[in-house]
Amino acid sequence: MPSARRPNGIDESVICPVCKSSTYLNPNMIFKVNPECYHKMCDSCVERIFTSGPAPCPVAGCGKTLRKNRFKIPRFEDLAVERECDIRARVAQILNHSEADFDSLRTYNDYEEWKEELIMDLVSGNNVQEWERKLKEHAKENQESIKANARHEEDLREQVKEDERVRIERSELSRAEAQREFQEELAEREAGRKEVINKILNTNSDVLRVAKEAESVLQKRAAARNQPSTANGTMGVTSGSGDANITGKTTGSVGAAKSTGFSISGLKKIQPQTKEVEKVYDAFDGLSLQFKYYSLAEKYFHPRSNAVDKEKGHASGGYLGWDYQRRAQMDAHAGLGIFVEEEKA
Amino acid sequence: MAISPNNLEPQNARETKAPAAAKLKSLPVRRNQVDSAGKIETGADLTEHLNLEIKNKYEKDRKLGEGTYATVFLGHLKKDPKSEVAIKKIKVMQEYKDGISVSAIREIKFLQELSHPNIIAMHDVYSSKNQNLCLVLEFLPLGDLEMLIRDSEGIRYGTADIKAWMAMLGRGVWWCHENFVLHRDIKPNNLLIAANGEIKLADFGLARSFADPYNRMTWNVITRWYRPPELLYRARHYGGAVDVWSVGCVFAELILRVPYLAGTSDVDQLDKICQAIGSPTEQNWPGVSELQDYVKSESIRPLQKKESFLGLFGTVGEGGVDLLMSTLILDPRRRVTAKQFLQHRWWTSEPRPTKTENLPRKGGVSAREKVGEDLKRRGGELDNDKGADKVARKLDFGNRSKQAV
Repeated sequence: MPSARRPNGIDESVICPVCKSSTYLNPNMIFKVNPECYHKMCDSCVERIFTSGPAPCPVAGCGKTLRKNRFKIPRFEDLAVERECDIRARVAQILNHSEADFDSLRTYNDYEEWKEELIMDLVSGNNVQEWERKLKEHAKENQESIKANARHEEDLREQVKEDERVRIERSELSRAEAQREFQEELAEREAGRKEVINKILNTNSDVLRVAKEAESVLQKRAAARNQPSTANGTMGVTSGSGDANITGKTTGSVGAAKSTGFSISGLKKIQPQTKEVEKVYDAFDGLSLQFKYYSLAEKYFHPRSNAVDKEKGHASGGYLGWDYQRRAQMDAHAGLGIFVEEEKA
Repeated sequence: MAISPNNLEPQNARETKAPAAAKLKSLPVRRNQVDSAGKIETGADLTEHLNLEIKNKYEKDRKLGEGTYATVFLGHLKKDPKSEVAIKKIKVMQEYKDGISVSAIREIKFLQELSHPNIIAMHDVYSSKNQNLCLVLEFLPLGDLEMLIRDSEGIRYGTADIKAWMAMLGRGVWWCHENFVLHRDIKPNNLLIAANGEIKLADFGLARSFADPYNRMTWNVITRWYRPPELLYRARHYGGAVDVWSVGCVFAELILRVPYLAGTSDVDQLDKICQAIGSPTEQNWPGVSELQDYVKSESIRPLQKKESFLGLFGTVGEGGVDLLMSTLILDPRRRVTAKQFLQHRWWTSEPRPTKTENLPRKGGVSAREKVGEDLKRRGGELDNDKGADKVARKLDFGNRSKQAV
């Protein structure tokens, strides 16, 4: 029945494959599918057949056991697309690492590609059982990290929302502030003008001088107003955004050694949650030059370099015979740590 | 990883490219490749083969800077387009018609040996088609320490930052000395900053290994402002202490944000040292009068007391001043060694050095270009008067520059 699959055009009606009722007669009919088999049927059929518990799919030749609560209204006209979306959502729920979990972009991209292949296999029906089993095992083994990743994503979304809220709040506050300031300034100007007029009326002093005085008073006031107002502006809006920092999330190492689940390469190791006690600063940064294969004597008998320390021009310039002796020792023994076999490999 | 794809490449070339050579010859763009492939075919010279192998690993992107001594390119690994390397192409010069310049040899020789987080890494060396040497160096995109010191408006840093930088510099120098290499050109210009904020010792164009006894070395090394008194007195036998003095000068410069001892000539430099630290005498430096150019000055200045240093450099604390003073001791035998420098109590005292990732930095295009500037310079270029001129013009700090130029 090819017409049933088509989008319901203007004059085409869709018929429920189960009860054969048509949208022509009942334009408000709702079609639902079950992700088990994606057979379309009308809402009333779903109610009728599955209300009393799981039952086999009524479409001829299918017979898969379906449950009512899994039925849903398809988002897409094309059920193949619907199905792929469902698979994607399901896989993404289990394999939910973000780029930050990987030590390089390369490994992340590799992971994404591998995931895509998995999804395509599931969609096209290659190896489905194998993949499903592995997915299930993986989900079981990595429950913790999957949950943590999901939580982290949630946190991020919350954070974006929160930031937006704070931004709006701040802009509203600053607008109100600007408005208030403007009003105040207007009022002050008005008052100042009145004062000038009064002065001119009351005293018979020089008009220009009075005007100038009033102007300077206004300016002073404006300057005084500006300072506290900026301080005000920054206060009070510091709420929220700063303290919403997200605690370091655990990524969870995926069991690479386990043969059953997946192995995802390139994941960062989990950072221990407990804050490490800072060690005493090591100016050598952990490096030391301990020679494994020889040790230096206190003193060497080597007349030429021993004499140097008392030689004119050598000693006073900072030349040390000891440096030469140490170097000679190192040069002589430098090859001791090298194993030809290892180098070849 | 027994055999990398790169190792395979020339062999493939031998098999596949040769038959195609005739066809490709008509295409001018591919010409070069055909030639090189042909060379492998006919010459079968192992060294050439290896050289080509290395050369083919990298791709030049653009020029970062050009000087009389070298041209610096930004490049990347063909295998990994995101990687960044600096390719320093050393020019064939008039003076060295018979071979390559001494500084290039020095640079290659020592960079090949030294591998340390605070020393610039050299990945490879190869020669280009017209026999120019190309050094493939680690690309350090954040400029040099001099930029940070000079930018007193834009960059603020404190004792913890200075401590972190000095520790890194100290480690680099210590590693050189432990491997018996004298750097002989330590200055803020040559301290490049890696992407992660780490300081790396660069420019080994003047480096040499510790000399044998009775083997004379040149005194004409180290940029004047960072040159220790024994070199100013033209000592021909010296040791790691010369680098330690430079480290001390960099330390002081980091605190003052202005070169500490900026002499306009060698004589003036000695004068500056006498004023700042004290006059070298037989008492405080036994045997100093034996040095070639020692002149007893008519006015002997006493050694400066710790109080005066505390006045100038007090911001880094008493421990810091103590360490600084011990690097600026006139007598090279009493000056601290690089190892003792790192063992000083200042490192473990408060404040703790800033973590590398939190160090102040200056990014952007200017820093990248600066790296090109730094790498193209030739070691020791600043030693003759012409060179000194150049430095003075480059650095700009108010009244001093007038004096210097």
